[in-house]
Amino acid sequence: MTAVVKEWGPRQSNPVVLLGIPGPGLVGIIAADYLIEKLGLQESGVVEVPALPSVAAVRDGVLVPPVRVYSGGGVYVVKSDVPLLPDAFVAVVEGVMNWAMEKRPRMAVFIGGVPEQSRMDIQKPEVFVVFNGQDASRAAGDVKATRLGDGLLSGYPVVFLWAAKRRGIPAMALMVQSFMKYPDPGAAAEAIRSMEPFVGEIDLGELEARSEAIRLKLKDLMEQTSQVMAQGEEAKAVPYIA
Amino acid sequence: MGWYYREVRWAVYSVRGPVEPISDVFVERDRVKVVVDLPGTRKEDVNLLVREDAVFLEARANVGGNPVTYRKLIRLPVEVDPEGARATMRSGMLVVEAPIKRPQFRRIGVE
Repeated sequence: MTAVVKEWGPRQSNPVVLLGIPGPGLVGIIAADYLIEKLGLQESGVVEVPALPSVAAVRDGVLVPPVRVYSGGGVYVVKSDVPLLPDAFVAVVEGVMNWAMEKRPRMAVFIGGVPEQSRMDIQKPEVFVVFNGQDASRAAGDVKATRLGDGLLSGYPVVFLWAAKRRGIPAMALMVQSFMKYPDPGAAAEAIRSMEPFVGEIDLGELEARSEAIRLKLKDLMEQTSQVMAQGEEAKAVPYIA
Repeated sequence: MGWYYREVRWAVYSVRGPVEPISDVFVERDRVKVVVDLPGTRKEDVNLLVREDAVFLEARANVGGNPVTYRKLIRLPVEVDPEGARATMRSGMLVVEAPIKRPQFRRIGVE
Protein backbone atom coordinates (compact mmCIF):
# COMPACT_ATOMS: atom_id res chain seq x y z
CA MET A 1 0.00 0.00 0.00
CA THR A 2 1.27 3.44 -0.90
CA ALA A 3 0.46 6.68 0.86
CA VAL A 4 -1.19 9.53 -0.98
CA VAL A 5 -0.24 13.19 -0.56
CA LYS A 6 -3.14 15.63 -0.63
CA GLU A 7 -1.81 19.12 -1.12
CA TRP A 8 -3.58 22.47 -1.07
CA GLY A 9 -0.75 24.97 -0.72
CA PRO A 10 0.99 26.97 -3.46
CA ARG A 11 3.25 24.94 -5.70
CA GLN A 12 7.00 25.28 -5.10
CA SER A 13 9.12 24.95 -8.21
CA ASN A 14 12.36 23.00 -8.28
CA PRO A 15 12.09 22.55 -4.51
CA VAL A 16 14.08 20.88 -1.77
CA VAL A 17 11.95 18.13 -0.20
CA LEU A 18 12.90 17.18 3.33
CA LEU A 19 11.55 14.20 5.26
CA GLY A 20 11.61 14.16 9.07
CA ILE A 21 10.31 11.15 10.97
CA PRO A 22 10.81 10.04 14.58
CA GLY A 23 14.02 8.04 14.89
CA PRO A 24 17.18 7.94 17.03
CA GLY A 25 17.39 11.12 19.10
CA LEU A 26 14.33 12.47 17.22
CA VAL A 27 16.91 14.34 15.15
CA GLY A 28 14.75 14.48 12.01
CA ILE A 29 11.72 15.76 13.90
CA ILE A 30 13.57 18.45 15.84
CA ALA A 31 15.33 19.66 12.67
CA ALA A 32 12.07 19.63 10.68
CA ASP A 33 10.19 21.53 13.38
CA TYR A 34 12.88 24.18 13.62
CA LEU A 35 13.11 24.63 9.86
CA ILE A 36 9.31 24.93 9.61
CA GLU A 37 9.41 27.66 12.23
CA LYS A 38 12.48 29.55 11.01
CA LEU A 39 11.61 29.41 7.32
CA GLY A 40 8.00 30.35 8.07
CA LEU A 41 6.61 27.33 6.23
CA GLN A 42 2.84 26.90 6.09
CA GLU A 43 0.93 23.67 6.45
CA SER A 44 0.02 22.81 2.89
CA GLY A 45 -0.94 19.17 2.75
CA VAL A 46 -1.33 15.82 4.45
CA VAL A 47 -0.06 12.34 3.73
CA GLU A 48 -2.76 9.70 3.97
CA VAL A 49 -1.12 6.47 5.03
CA PRO A 50 -3.13 3.26 4.71
CA ALA A 51 -0.52 1.21 6.57
CA LEU A 52 -0.67 3.46 9.62
CA PRO A 53 -2.53 2.03 12.58
CA SER A 54 -5.71 3.73 13.68
CA VAL A 55 -4.04 6.82 15.05
CA ALA A 56 -4.34 10.51 14.33
CA ALA A 57 -3.23 13.77 15.81
CA VAL A 58 -5.88 15.98 17.38
CA ARG A 59 -5.98 19.73 16.91
CA ASP A 60 -8.71 21.85 18.47
CA GLY A 61 -10.86 18.75 18.85
CA VAL A 62 -10.46 17.75 15.20
CA LEU A 63 -8.56 14.72 13.89
CA VAL A 64 -5.69 15.53 11.54
CA PRO A 65 -3.44 13.02 9.81
CA PRO A 66 -0.15 12.65 11.71
CA VAL A 67 2.02 12.96 8.59
CA ARG A 68 1.80 16.46 7.17
CA VAL A 69 3.37 18.65 4.51
CA TYR A 70 4.67 22.18 5.09
CA SER A 71 5.92 24.45 2.33
CA GLY A 72 7.25 27.86 1.38
CA GLY A 73 10.24 29.53 -0.25
CA GLY A 74 11.14 26.58 -2.42
CA VAL A 75 11.15 24.09 0.45
CA TYR A 76 8.79 21.26 1.34
CA VAL A 77 9.04 19.59 4.72
CA VAL A 78 7.17 16.32 5.24
CA LYS A 79 6.96 15.52 8.94
CA SER A 80 5.44 12.66 10.90
CA ASP A 81 4.15 13.21 14.42
CA VAL A 82 4.18 9.48 15.10
CA PRO A 83 6.89 6.85 14.85
CA LEU A 84 6.52 4.67 11.76
CA LEU A 85 6.99 0.92 11.59
CA PRO A 86 8.86 -0.25 8.47
CA ASP A 87 5.68 -0.96 6.44
CA ALA A 88 4.25 2.47 7.16
CA PHE A 89 7.59 4.12 6.46
CA VAL A 90 7.86 2.45 3.04
CA ALA A 91 4.29 3.53 2.25
CA VAL A 92 5.05 7.13 3.24
CA VAL A 93 8.30 7.29 1.28
CA GLU A 94 6.73 5.79 -1.87
CA GLY A 95 3.78 8.16 -1.65
CA VAL A 96 5.94 11.20 -1.02
CA MET A 97 8.27 10.34 -3.90
CA ASN A 98 5.33 9.78 -6.28
CA TRP A 99 4.04 13.21 -5.33
CA ALA A 100 7.45 14.89 -5.41
CA MET A 101 8.49 13.46 -8.78
CA GLU A 102 6.40 15.85 -10.88
CA LYS A 103 7.79 18.85 -8.99
CA ARG A 104 11.28 18.00 -10.23
CA PRO A 105 12.95 18.56 -6.86
CA ARG A 106 16.57 19.65 -6.92
CA MET A 107 17.18 17.51 -3.83
CA ALA A 108 15.28 15.19 -1.52
CA VAL A 109 16.76 15.07 1.96
CA PHE A 110 16.37 12.57 4.78
CA ILE A 111 17.60 13.69 8.20
CA GLY A 112 18.25 11.08 10.86
CA GLY A 113 20.41 10.18 13.82
CA VAL A 114 23.17 7.62 13.98
CA PRO A 115 23.25 6.28 17.55
CA GLU A 116 26.64 6.97 19.10
CA GLN A 117 27.40 5.42 22.49
CA SER A 118 29.87 8.12 23.44
CA ARG A 119 27.54 10.95 22.36
CA MET A 120 27.71 12.51 25.81
CA ASP A 121 31.44 13.12 25.32
CA ILE A 122 31.01 14.66 21.88
CA GLN A 123 30.66 18.45 21.82
CA LYS A 124 30.03 18.80 18.10
CA PRO A 125 28.42 15.73 16.56
CA GLU A 126 29.64 14.81 13.12
CA VAL A 127 27.22 14.81 10.17
CA PHE A 128 27.59 12.10 7.55
CA VAL A 129 26.05 12.17 4.11
CA VAL A 130 25.17 9.52 1.55
CA PHE A 131 23.89 10.38 -1.93
CA ASN A 132 21.77 8.22 -4.19
CA GLY A 133 23.93 8.93 -7.23
CA GLN A 134 26.59 11.10 -8.80
CA ASP A 135 23.97 13.66 -9.88
CA ALA A 136 22.91 14.16 -6.31
CA SER A 137 26.52 14.35 -5.18
CA ARG A 138 27.22 17.11 -7.71
CA ALA A 139 23.97 18.94 -6.95
CA ALA A 140 24.79 19.00 -3.24
CA GLY A 141 27.88 21.10 -3.91
CA ASP A 142 29.53 22.02 -0.66
CA VAL A 143 27.10 20.39 1.74
CA LYS A 144 28.76 20.53 5.16
CA ALA A 145 28.94 16.84 5.92
CA THR A 146 31.43 14.00 5.79
CA ARG A 147 30.80 11.55 3.00
CA LEU A 148 30.48 8.02 4.33
CA GLY A 149 33.36 5.86 3.23
CA ASP A 150 33.10 2.41 1.70
CA GLY A 151 30.82 0.23 3.74
CA LEU A 152 27.34 -1.16 4.11
CA LEU A 153 24.35 1.01 4.96
CA SER A 154 20.95 -0.27 6.01
CA GLY A 155 17.67 0.94 7.44
CA TYR A 156 15.28 3.80 6.72
CA PRO A 157 17.75 6.09 4.89
CA VAL A 158 18.35 3.37 2.30
CA VAL A 159 14.62 2.94 1.64
CA PHE A 160 14.43 6.70 1.12
CA LEU A 161 17.45 6.91 -1.18
CA TRP A 162 16.36 4.00 -3.39
CA ALA A 163 12.79 5.27 -3.66
CA ALA A 164 14.15 8.60 -4.93
CA LYS A 165 16.67 6.93 -7.22
CA ARG A 166 13.97 4.85 -8.94
CA ARG A 167 12.16 8.07 -9.85
CA GLY A 168 15.25 9.98 -10.95
CA ILE A 169 15.15 12.32 -7.95
CA PRO A 170 18.54 13.37 -6.55
CA ALA A 171 18.56 12.58 -2.85
CA MET A 172 20.82 12.53 0.16
CA ALA A 173 20.61 11.16 3.67
CA LEU A 174 22.13 13.33 6.37
CA MET A 175 22.94 11.27 9.41
CA VAL A 176 24.20 12.87 12.60
CA GLN A 177 25.90 11.27 15.56
CA SER A 178 23.18 11.31 18.21
CA PHE A 179 21.75 9.75 21.31
CA MET A 180 19.63 6.69 20.64
CA LYS A 181 17.01 7.08 23.36
CA TYR A 182 17.15 10.75 24.34
CA PRO A 183 15.90 13.70 22.26
CA ASP A 184 19.00 15.36 20.83
CA PRO A 185 18.57 19.03 19.80
CA GLY A 186 22.36 19.42 19.56
CA ALA A 187 22.53 16.80 16.82
CA ALA A 188 19.56 18.40 15.05
CA ALA A 189 21.39 21.73 15.07
CA GLU A 190 24.35 20.18 13.26
CA ALA A 191 22.02 18.64 10.68
CA ILE A 192 20.44 22.03 10.01
CA ARG A 193 23.87 23.63 9.72
CA SER A 194 24.85 21.12 7.07
CA MET A 195 21.67 22.00 5.14
CA GLU A 196 22.77 25.62 4.66
CA PRO A 197 23.60 25.27 0.93
CA PHE A 198 19.91 24.43 0.42
CA VAL A 199 18.00 26.50 2.95
CA GLY A 200 20.39 29.38 3.62
CA GLU A 201 21.91 30.33 6.94
CA ILE A 202 19.60 29.54 9.84
CA ASP A 203 20.08 31.15 13.26
CA LEU A 204 20.49 28.21 15.63
CA GLY A 205 20.66 30.27 18.83
CA GLU A 206 17.02 29.71 19.66
CA LEU A 207 17.32 25.97 19.19
CA GLU A 208 20.18 25.93 21.65
CA ALA A 209 18.32 28.17 24.09
CA ARG A 210 15.21 25.97 23.97
CA SER A 211 17.13 22.74 24.05
CA GLU A 212 16.01 21.73 27.57
CA ALA A 213 12.37 22.52 26.86
CA ILE A 214 12.52 20.49 23.63
CA ARG A 215 14.04 17.51 25.46
CA LEU A 216 11.25 17.56 28.03
CA LYS A 217 8.50 18.23 25.52
CA LEU A 218 9.53 15.35 23.29
CA LYS A 219 10.04 12.85 26.10
CA ASP A 220 6.86 10.89 25.42
CA LEU A 221 7.42 10.77 21.66
CA MET A 222 10.99 9.60 22.26
CA GLU A 223 9.80 6.75 24.48
CA GLN A 224 7.21 5.68 21.92
CA THR A 225 9.80 5.88 19.16
CA SER A 226 12.21 3.71 21.14
CA GLN A 227 9.49 1.06 21.47
CA VAL A 228 8.71 1.18 17.76
CA MET A 229 12.40 1.02 16.85
CA ALA A 230 12.75 -2.05 19.03
CA GLN A 231 9.87 -3.69 17.12
CA GLY A 232 11.02 -2.60 13.70
CA GLU A 233 13.75 -3.95 11.54
CA GLU A 234 15.83 -0.82 11.93
CA ALA A 235 16.62 -1.66 15.51
CA LYS A 236 17.86 -5.10 14.50
CA ALA A 237 20.00 -3.94 11.63
CA VAL A 238 23.43 -2.41 11.99
CA PRO A 239 22.96 1.05 10.46
CA TYR A 240 26.39 1.32 8.91
CA ILE A 241 29.37 -1.00 8.64
CA ALA A 242 32.54 0.63 7.43
CA MET B 1 -1.77 6.83 22.64
CA GLY B 2 -0.27 9.28 25.11
CA TRP B 3 2.15 11.00 22.82
CA TYR B 4 -0.59 12.51 20.69
CA TYR B 5 -1.44 14.65 23.63
CA ARG B 6 2.08 15.76 24.40
CA GLU B 7 1.24 19.36 23.63
CA VAL B 8 -1.48 19.21 26.25
CA ARG B 9 0.79 17.43 28.67
CA TRP B 10 3.46 20.00 28.12
CA ALA B 11 1.08 22.79 29.00
CA VAL B 12 0.23 21.25 32.34
CA TYR B 13 3.62 19.91 33.37
CA SER B 14 4.03 22.66 35.90
CA VAL B 15 0.87 21.80 37.79
CA ARG B 16 0.83 18.02 37.39
CA GLY B 17 2.72 15.42 39.33
CA PRO B 18 6.34 14.41 38.88
CA VAL B 19 7.68 13.56 35.45
CA GLU B 20 9.25 10.14 34.96
CA PRO B 21 12.47 10.86 33.04
CA ILE B 22 13.92 8.73 30.24
CA SER B 23 16.65 6.44 31.53
CA ASP B 24 18.83 3.63 30.29
CA VAL B 25 20.83 0.98 32.15
CA PHE B 26 24.09 -0.49 30.81
CA VAL B 27 25.70 -3.55 32.38
CA GLU B 28 29.45 -3.64 31.83
CA ARG B 29 32.03 -6.20 32.92
CA ASP B 30 32.41 -4.95 36.48
CA ARG B 31 29.94 -2.09 36.85
CA VAL B 32 26.46 -0.88 36.07
CA LYS B 33 25.90 2.50 34.44
CA VAL B 34 22.57 4.31 34.64
CA VAL B 35 21.99 7.35 32.42
CA VAL B 36 19.01 9.62 33.09
CA ASP B 37 17.91 12.60 31.01
CA LEU B 38 17.02 15.44 33.40
CA PRO B 39 16.75 18.59 31.28
CA GLY B 40 16.95 21.81 33.26
CA THR B 41 18.34 20.20 36.41
CA ARG B 42 21.37 21.37 38.41
CA LYS B 43 23.38 18.77 40.27
CA GLU B 44 22.57 20.33 43.66
CA ASP B 45 18.86 19.76 42.99
CA VAL B 46 19.17 16.00 42.58
CA ASN B 47 18.29 13.69 45.44
CA LEU B 48 19.81 10.32 44.58
CA LEU B 49 19.51 7.05 46.49
CA VAL B 50 21.23 3.83 45.51
CA ARG B 51 20.56 0.38 46.90
CA GLU B 52 21.73 -3.05 45.79
CA ASP B 53 18.96 -3.58 43.24
CA ALA B 54 17.70 -0.11 42.38
CA VAL B 55 18.37 3.58 41.94
CA PHE B 56 15.83 6.12 43.11
CA LEU B 57 16.02 9.75 42.14
CA GLU B 58 14.06 12.87 42.65
CA ALA B 59 15.04 16.19 41.17
CA ARG B 60 13.74 19.71 40.78
CA ALA B 61 14.29 21.59 37.57
CA ASN B 62 13.42 24.79 35.82
CA VAL B 63 12.62 24.26 32.17
CA GLY B 64 11.83 27.34 30.14
CA GLY B 65 10.58 29.12 33.28
CA ASN B 66 8.38 26.21 34.35
CA PRO B 67 9.16 24.28 37.53
CA VAL B 68 9.39 20.54 36.91
CA THR B 69 9.86 17.68 39.34
CA TYR B 70 11.40 14.42 38.15
CA ARG B 71 10.99 11.18 40.05
CA LYS B 72 11.90 7.62 39.07
CA LEU B 73 12.74 4.25 40.56
CA ILE B 74 15.08 2.37 38.25
CA ARG B 75 15.47 -1.36 38.83
CA LEU B 76 18.94 -2.77 38.21
CA PRO B 77 19.40 -6.10 36.41
CA VAL B 78 22.28 -7.15 38.72
CA GLU B 79 23.11 -6.32 42.33
CA VAL B 80 25.57 -3.49 42.91
CA ASP B 81 27.60 -2.23 45.83
CA PRO B 82 25.94 1.09 46.84
CA GLU B 83 29.06 2.11 48.82
CA GLY B 84 31.09 2.24 45.63
CA ALA B 85 28.52 4.19 43.60
CA ARG B 86 29.29 7.63 42.20
CA ALA B 87 27.31 10.09 40.13
CA THR B 88 28.10 12.92 37.76
CA MET B 89 25.96 15.42 35.91
CA ARG B 90 26.65 16.94 32.49
CA SER B 91 24.31 19.07 30.38
CA GLY B 92 21.31 17.87 32.32
CA MET B 93 22.22 14.20 32.03
CA LEU B 94 22.81 12.23 35.20
CA VAL B 95 25.22 9.31 35.08
CA VAL B 96 25.29 6.91 38.01
CA GLU B 97 27.96 4.23 38.08
CA ALA B 98 28.12 1.45 40.65
CA PRO B 99 30.39 -1.59 40.91
CA ILE B 100 28.71 -4.96 40.48
CA LYS B 101 28.56 -6.75 43.82
CA ARG B 102 30.04 -10.04 42.61
CA PRO B 103 31.87 -9.11 39.40
CA GLN B 104 34.12 -12.16 39.24
CA PHE B 105 33.37 -14.59 36.50
CA ARG B 106 33.82 -18.24 37.51
CA ARG B 107 35.49 -20.51 35.01
CA ILE B 108 33.33 -23.54 34.25
CA GLY B 109 34.76 -26.62 32.61
CA VAL B 110 32.85 -27.98 29.62
CA GLU B 111 32.06 -31.67 29.98
